[in-house]
Amino acid sequence: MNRSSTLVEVSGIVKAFGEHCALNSVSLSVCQNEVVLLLGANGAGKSTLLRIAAGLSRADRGLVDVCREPCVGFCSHHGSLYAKLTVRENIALTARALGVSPQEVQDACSTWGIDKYCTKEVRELSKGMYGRVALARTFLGSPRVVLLDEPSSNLDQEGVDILCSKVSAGATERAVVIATHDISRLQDVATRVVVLERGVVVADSLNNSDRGEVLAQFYGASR
Amino acid sequence: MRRWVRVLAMLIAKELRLEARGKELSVLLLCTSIITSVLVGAGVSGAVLQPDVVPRLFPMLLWIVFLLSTTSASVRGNEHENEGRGYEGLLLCGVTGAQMYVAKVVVWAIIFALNWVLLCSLLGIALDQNLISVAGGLLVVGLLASLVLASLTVLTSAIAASAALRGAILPLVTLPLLFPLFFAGIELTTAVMIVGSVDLSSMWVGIMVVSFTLFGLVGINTYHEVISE
Repeated sequence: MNRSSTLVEVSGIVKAFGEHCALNSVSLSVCQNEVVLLLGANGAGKSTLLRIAAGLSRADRGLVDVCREPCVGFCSHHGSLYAKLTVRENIALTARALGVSPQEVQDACSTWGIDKYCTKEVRELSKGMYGRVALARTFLGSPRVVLLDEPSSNLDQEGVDILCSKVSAGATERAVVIATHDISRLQDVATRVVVLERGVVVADSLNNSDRGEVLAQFYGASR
Repeated sequence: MRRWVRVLAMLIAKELRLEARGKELSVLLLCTSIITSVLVGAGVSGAVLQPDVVPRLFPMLLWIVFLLSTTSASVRGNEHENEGRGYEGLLLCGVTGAQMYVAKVVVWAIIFALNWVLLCSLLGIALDQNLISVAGGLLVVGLLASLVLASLTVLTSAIAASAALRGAILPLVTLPLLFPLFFAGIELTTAVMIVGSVDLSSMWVGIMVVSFTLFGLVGINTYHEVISE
């Protein structure tokens, strides 16, 4: 794989919440054309790492260098949506801030199957539909870096299929990091697997040529 | 610059829309204003004061009620941001903290100014004061005060957003910072009640302008840090 164009570079990241050290000198670089599955048990530091990479949280120590052109696509647990705005208003807000055309907004709504719900406030949606709206917003403007935190947790199979096709479709142009527990549904789309354990990267399929070995190591650790 | 203004206009529209739907700030403001006005009106009426004392007390009572209602209501003003962390999506697509802050100040200042008009009317009726002849001057004072209040409370409510006792903490933190506004406001309102208009060259207007500039500069430069983790 050509690793010349690094879009995400975090190095020596340390982050503590009080006495609890969430990340302990974590380093990770992700290149264009890579889709990384970030695995780890609850509390391993996956979300914290993604939030730091997205620029929404500050590391106590370490360097963060992420391509922010035209934006960073980040989908958190919360969805980063305004509950009392409609689906269309939420997506239009991001679209206008990025200068994305109304046609692209319409296309995004159709792709994610949310066009029927455009006039509904997002607080009225099911969790699955809420997740789709959050993902539609995340991919607007074709970000070169996409960071997804548990994107499939509330999605049905159709939603996961759309997510996988969306990730695969632009994979050559972007770097994608997906923090997930949903390995079975997302591993096909991944080109690399990284395992975090108690704030430390314990396995990376970039170093171990066999991805299966890394997954086996993860399954072993999580048991 | 044009893009900056376009995004700002979009954010102002968003704030207005969220307030129109959620009514987080306006309903609390309306309720506290009505309750405190009625209490103050009943208290003053029952205090057996000479009729000529009431006009002299009016500006102070108006300002106490105005500041208490706005600072306590501002606790709810940030709720819609925390519900789904919508602001994070905006920050990620290049919207700056300064733009978000300015948009909120504009909208909150409009709401506070409406509250000022409501309070003047309610207290005017409760204390039997004819304010029609001085309405223009009072409106100018109210607009200035609303801008100062909004520039501070937008910032303090965001700072207190994750505090467990924010309902109690926010007024305690905010009110001491508003002492200059409180004194300037009473002096200006008293002058308006006597003269009928605002002397824009007075020291009290200067205090309000300086407070607004100071709070505004702090808000513009720190809002991003305040709302980020």
